[in-house]
Amino acid sequence: MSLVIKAENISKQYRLGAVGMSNLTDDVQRLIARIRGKEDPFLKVGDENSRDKAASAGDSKFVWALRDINFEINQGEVVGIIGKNGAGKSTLLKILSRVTEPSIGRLKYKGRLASLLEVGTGFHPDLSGRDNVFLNGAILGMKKQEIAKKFDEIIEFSGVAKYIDTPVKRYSSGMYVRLAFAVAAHLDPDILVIDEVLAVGDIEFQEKCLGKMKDVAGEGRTVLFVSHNMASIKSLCKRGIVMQKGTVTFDGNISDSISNYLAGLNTGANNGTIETFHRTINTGKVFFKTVEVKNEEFLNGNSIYFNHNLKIACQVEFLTDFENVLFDARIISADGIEVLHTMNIYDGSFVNIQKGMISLNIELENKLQPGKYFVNLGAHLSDGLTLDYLEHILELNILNVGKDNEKGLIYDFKLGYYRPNTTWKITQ
Amino acid sequence: MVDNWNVVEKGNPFNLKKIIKDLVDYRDLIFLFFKRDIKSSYQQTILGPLWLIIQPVFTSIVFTIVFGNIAKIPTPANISPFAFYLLGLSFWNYFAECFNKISGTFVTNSSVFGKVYFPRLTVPLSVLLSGLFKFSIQFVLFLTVYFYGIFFHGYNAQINLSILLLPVYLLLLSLFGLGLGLIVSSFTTKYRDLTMLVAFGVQLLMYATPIAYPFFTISYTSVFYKILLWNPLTGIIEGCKYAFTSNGLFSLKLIAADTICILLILILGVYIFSQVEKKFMDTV
Repeated sequence: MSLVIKAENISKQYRLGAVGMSNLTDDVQRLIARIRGKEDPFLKVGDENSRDKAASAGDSKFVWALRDINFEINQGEVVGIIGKNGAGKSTLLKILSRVTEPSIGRLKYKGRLASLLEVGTGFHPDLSGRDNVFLNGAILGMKKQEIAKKFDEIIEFSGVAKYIDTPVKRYSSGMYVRLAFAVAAHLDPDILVIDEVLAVGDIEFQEKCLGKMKDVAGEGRTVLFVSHNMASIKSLCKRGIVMQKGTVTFDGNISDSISNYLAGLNTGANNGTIETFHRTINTGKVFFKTVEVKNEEFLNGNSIYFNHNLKIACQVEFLTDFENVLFDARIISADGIEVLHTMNIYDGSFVNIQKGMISLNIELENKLQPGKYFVNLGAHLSDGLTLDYLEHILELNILNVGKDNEKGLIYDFKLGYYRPNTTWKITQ
Repeated sequence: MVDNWNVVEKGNPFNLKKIIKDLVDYRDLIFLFFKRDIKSSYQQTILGPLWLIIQPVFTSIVFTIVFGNIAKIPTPANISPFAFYLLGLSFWNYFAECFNKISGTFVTNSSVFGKVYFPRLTVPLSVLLSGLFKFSIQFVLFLTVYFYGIFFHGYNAQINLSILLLPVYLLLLSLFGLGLGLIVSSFTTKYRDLTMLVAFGVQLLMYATPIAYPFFTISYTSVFYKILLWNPLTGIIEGCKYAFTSNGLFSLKLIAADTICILLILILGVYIFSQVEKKFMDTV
């Protein structure tokens, strides 16, 4: 296998704040340094890429969006780049697609490289679908002849044949995106760089896109794919590069990369000590002190694989003795619907608790559909008096990928909140 | 595979050969941009490309009133004043349109430039093409008025051999608009001040070019005379007028000097543009 992409110490510095007079003085300083044959003075300063203001120690007006990125990619590899928002993925993609240059270091590649940072780049609303196919194709680097040759294929793939001579501003957003992706899907580059473009269209079309991308990957082309969608990453890529705060933190096979990425996500502010302002109702006698969510493997984490049981662990302090105490937990969907409610008395009975610290563990069968949920926790007495109540104290992120599900699930679906175990018997 | 790495790094050296090769590779894109500009310009207008004619006609009427009737600046006797103004305006409009539009290259195309790489020079070159299209319509208008004057009103304007230089004049106007436009567009990526300057600068430049008046109405002792000679457009525009009226300033020496000046500006423009295109996304 031969090397087709090589990143050597790629770093990218950005200046914070608006462009104004101070830029001019910086530019003048740079120019003076250049005339005297010295290095750019501003490349020596700069903070690491972190949006958390308190966490970044310095208050430099320069920030490193990327810092010393190194990797090598062989021909035919399909690599997923994953990381949180702001980890530097898009900046890296911009450099890979030659939209901008690195501040330090360099990128080398062989052959024809095409990038898809969005679908429908350069589409003109007043032009017909046909004209836009040619225009967009040419922007992406195709020759007119090539597009003409593939034109019928593109139209067929998009499924908008009937409207091809209508201006695209009359298209529904779905049709627009279909046509745009169809052009992109028929590119013929040696290296393809793709950013999240799959998050468009309906499920049927998304599957079609994913299938097309698998074909592309299967033809021995090199593909770099950035997405937040673990399911499509997992089904498409063999190798993963995990980015965090502008650096590569992991580079290896895709399953390990995803685990690594999820582990990084799991250090959310949700877990840990509970502050007073979290409490909705409090009597001053009972306090939830800490709360954590763990998945089945007892890793800390708010991100939980689909169909993978979870555990909530709390420390509760009782300042006096109480009799007939009950605890409850609710799971609320991101759109505010109470999906689940559970209490300790469902399985047992009220408990008597003496003054001191107790630990409370809730194990929960997780059949939740992928998405974001919140957890409410409460301690009450049998007569209905609430001792302590915490709303939205935990955020649960049910992933659209199962732990052992290698082929991945359909992404981003909203088919209810709960998927119970069911048995279907169909007779005739 | 042979070791033909493409390298992306800070400050690639200026390589004119590669720039030209890239443009040849992307020539289809230049034509498609051109087609897009023409097709989309007159969508949902009733008069369509007729607007291209209306604008110079009205400007010429205003010139006839203001410069001819009020200021009483003489125009050559062998051509109608209206045709005389149209002649200057059609060439001037071509230059001004190219310059104006190319000045905005980075700012108006930032959303596309930010997503895909293609040789950025394709956009300004397509502007030259669409400018040429608009010019040809206005030029046909001029010719109509010109010959109408000769055949029906007895003007005896004479076309001379220097008309063969017309393509050269057009090329020079294109290259000058391109060069100036590239310089301005490169600077406006970071500092928008120039946009303001260009807006009325082009207006001022028109009066510093013999468009609305013949060159020889300026006394050669005045400072303005010297300014006019320093303006590279003077020799070209006067050359155009000379070709159709055999009247005006026709100096190959001046045109040669203009050509050198324009080529220098063009090379400077392409150089600055090629340096800015790689990092303008960070500042635009």
